[in-house]
Parts: sequence; structure tokens; C-alpha cells
Amino acid sequence: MKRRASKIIFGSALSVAAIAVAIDHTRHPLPEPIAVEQRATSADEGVATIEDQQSEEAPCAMDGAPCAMGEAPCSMD
Amino acid sequence: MSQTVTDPKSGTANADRSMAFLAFVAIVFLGYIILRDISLKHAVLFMIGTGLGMALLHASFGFSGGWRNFIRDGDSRAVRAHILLLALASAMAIPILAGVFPSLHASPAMGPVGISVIVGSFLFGIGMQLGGGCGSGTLYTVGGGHVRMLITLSFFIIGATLGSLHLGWWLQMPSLGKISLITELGWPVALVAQFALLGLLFFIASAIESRSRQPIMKIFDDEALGITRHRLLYGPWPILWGVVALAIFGLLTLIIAGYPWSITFAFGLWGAKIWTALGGDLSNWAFWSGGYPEKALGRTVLADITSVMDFGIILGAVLAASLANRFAPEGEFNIGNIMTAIIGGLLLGYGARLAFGCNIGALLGGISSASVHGWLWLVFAFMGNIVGTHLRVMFGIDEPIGSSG
Repeated sequence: MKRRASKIIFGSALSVAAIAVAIDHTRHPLPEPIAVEQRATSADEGVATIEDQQSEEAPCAMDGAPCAMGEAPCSMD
Repeated sequence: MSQTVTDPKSGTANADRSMAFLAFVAIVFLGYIILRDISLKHAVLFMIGTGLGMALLHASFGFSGGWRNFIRDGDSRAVRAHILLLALASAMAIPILAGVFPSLHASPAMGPVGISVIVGSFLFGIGMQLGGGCGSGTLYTVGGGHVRMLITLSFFIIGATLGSLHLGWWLQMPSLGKISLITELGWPVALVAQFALLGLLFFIASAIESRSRQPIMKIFDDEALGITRHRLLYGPWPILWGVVALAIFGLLTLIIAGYPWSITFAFGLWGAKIWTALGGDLSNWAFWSGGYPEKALGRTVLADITSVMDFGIILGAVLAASLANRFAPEGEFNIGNIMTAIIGGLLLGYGARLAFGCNIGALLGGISSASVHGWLWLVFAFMGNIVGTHLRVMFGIDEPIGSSG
């Protein structure tokens, strides 16, 4: 396969993917913005504090899958 | 169509400037959307993803090819580089995960030490050789414009989605549950134990190579010390630069995201979203009916950190490949390599879901979290790679082992 053909196929695939992401992005409500008081705390305490607000949503351990169905994925305890 | 330019310093480096410009615009635009609509954290992680994509492509930092070279020819350069990466990542992550730095909060990548990881990593290993890439390798080679890898990635996504359907059944198989060396041994002993194991593997890999060539090929040399801006941008990078870059970006991901770098959760998410968009019903799929997966499914894909980092890796690799004039190389297409890309992609996706991650989420993330499932993954994925390497010969992709002299 020639480079030009590869570029056309790649460009087409990337365009389809971009359209799919755009459709998905516009179909769902955006996440709630960070509250003002939380934002101030985050600025004071750095990046790790920003994570605190969303840590319960992190797919960390097991790529988001529970170890056993219903078990919290992120806890080592 | 594409404009190339000769670098005045080296006289050899040609950049595909139009493609590089498009990639740069795409990175800036998507980064802006993520920053505007989601959060600064997501935008920063997207940029880390682009850095990872550039590092992976410029250093040609793949696991599949490196492991195949080791299995076929005893060439252990890449394997030793992977071991160094695991050691460096462990040294950085384990103290953080153990809470040595109270201001940094991060969760480990844990998985069960059981049948699902054994079967999943073995299938993933076969898939690495048939599909021609691992988790990170598939993303950066797609970004490099390899059309065959688009097929692998498509079926990687299908496989990961199917794996999420069956995961509940696999998790009913025997398992010892999650085992953390940090919890069991304390972090200093866990770190020393990991160094000892990795050192042993490094020694074994070197010894195997020394049987076929003396001296063994170096991964440290003067070339690795000659860092210039030109080389950083246009590549190619010595493999050692790849090790250091991946370790640093991995550390930043751990600190900012709050958990180790992962890749393949996003593939299952994309598959589930596509399935839903096509009218499919996921309500009776246990995996997507609770916890983070359910939340991720109900939100924009740009709110999922793994997804935005994966987008960053692809676009970063497009940019790097364009700068290196390696974008969209000519490739041979026949029914054989299309079929192996399909089968390989399915095995990669299904295996990664069962194994709680790929070579990044389970191997790098697992071992740097001192989770025993990461070590289990390493053993069985390597066995799968041995099988996959022989299957490549059987399918006519490679010459018989030993025939190249």
C-alpha cells in the first residue's frame, strides 16, 4: 500500500473517530464544575487535592472493574 | 501534497510539515475543548498523553517486537530496557502509594491473583504477536499511520467489549484475591524484593543473550548522553530516553490522575458506547451496571482520563511520526496479515479485560504498585508471546526461528 493511500485511510478513520467523539461529547451533560470553595482549597493545596474530589470515580485498580462484582475497585484494604 | 523540509543542521531529517501542522492543531484544539468543558486536570493528562505518544514513537518503545526478538534471537536489549522501566517506575511509585509523602494521594493498580489474570495475560501475549502490538504499541503505531494497526485497534476495542461481558463469569474462577507486597511486607522490603526480582530477570536476559553473542548489545552508550533539542523533536531516540520519558510521564500520571497510567479500560468504554449508539442494550451487562464503568458510560468520553490520555498518545505519535517523516509508511496488505490483525486484536482486547489491563495497566502499573497480579501477568503474557511467536511462523508472517542465522 502506497503512503498516499495510507494517509487517506488514516485521515478517514481519524475523521470518523473525531465525529464520533463530537457526537458523544454533545449528547452527555458536562461534569459539574468545581465549587468555588473547593477551587480555593485546591489552589492552596495543589494537584493532589484536586484528585481528592474525584477519587471515588477513578478507575485506578483493575481498570475500573471490581475485583468481585460489587466490591470497591480502589481499596487495598 | 505534503511539504517536506531538509534540516539545515543534519541535512538528513525531513519533516512532513503539513501533517505535523495538522497534528499540532488537533492537539491544541482538543486540549482546549477538554480544558474548557472538563477540567485542567484532564487537559494536563491529555498533554501528558501526547508526550507519551511522542516518546513511544521516537524511541520505538514497543513490547511485542522486543519480546519477539528475545524469543527468536536472544536479543535482550528491549527486554532489559523494559526491566529498567519497571525498576524505575517501582522506585518512584511505591513510596507514593505507601503514603511516604502525605501530600500525594494515589491508588495502586491492583488485580486478583487468579485464573482470570492467568488466562487473560496468556491470551494477551498471543495477541501481542499476532496483532503486532501491545496496548501502548497499538496506540502509537496507529498514530504512526500504520493502516494494519487500525484493524488491530478496531478488534482490540471489540475484544475488550466482549471481555467486559464475560468478566463476571471469569471472576467466579479460583482466585487468591488482591495481594499487595506493600501491605504484606511493608514498602521498603517490597521495594527491595522487587529490585531483587527485576535484577534477577535482568541477569537472566543478559545471560541468555550472551550465549548467542559476545559482548551483549548495550542499552547504555554515548549516544544516550547526546541530548539535543533537534533530536528530542525529530528523533530517533535511544531506547534509554524512552525508558526515562515513560517513567517520568508515568510518575506525573500517578500524581495528577491519582492512579497509575492505564490504556485499555478506554477501549472497552469506546466499544460499549458504540454498542449503545447502535441500539445495543447494556443494562444486563454487570460490568457496565455499577461503579466507575457505569459513570464513565453515562458521561462524555472526554471526562474519562484513560480515554483522553489515549487520544493524546495517538495524536502525539502522529506529530512525532510527521516530524520524523515516518508517518503512514508503505505497507504490504494481504488476507493473511489482515486475518492475524483481526485475531490478534480480539485476543488483545479480551485478554486485557480479563487480566485487568495490558502491558501498561497490568504490567507496568501492577508491578510498580507492588501488586502480585502484575508479576503473574508478566509470567503468563511472556508464555503467550512464546506461543504467538511460533504462530507467526506457522502463519507465514515470519521465517522459521533460526533460519536467519
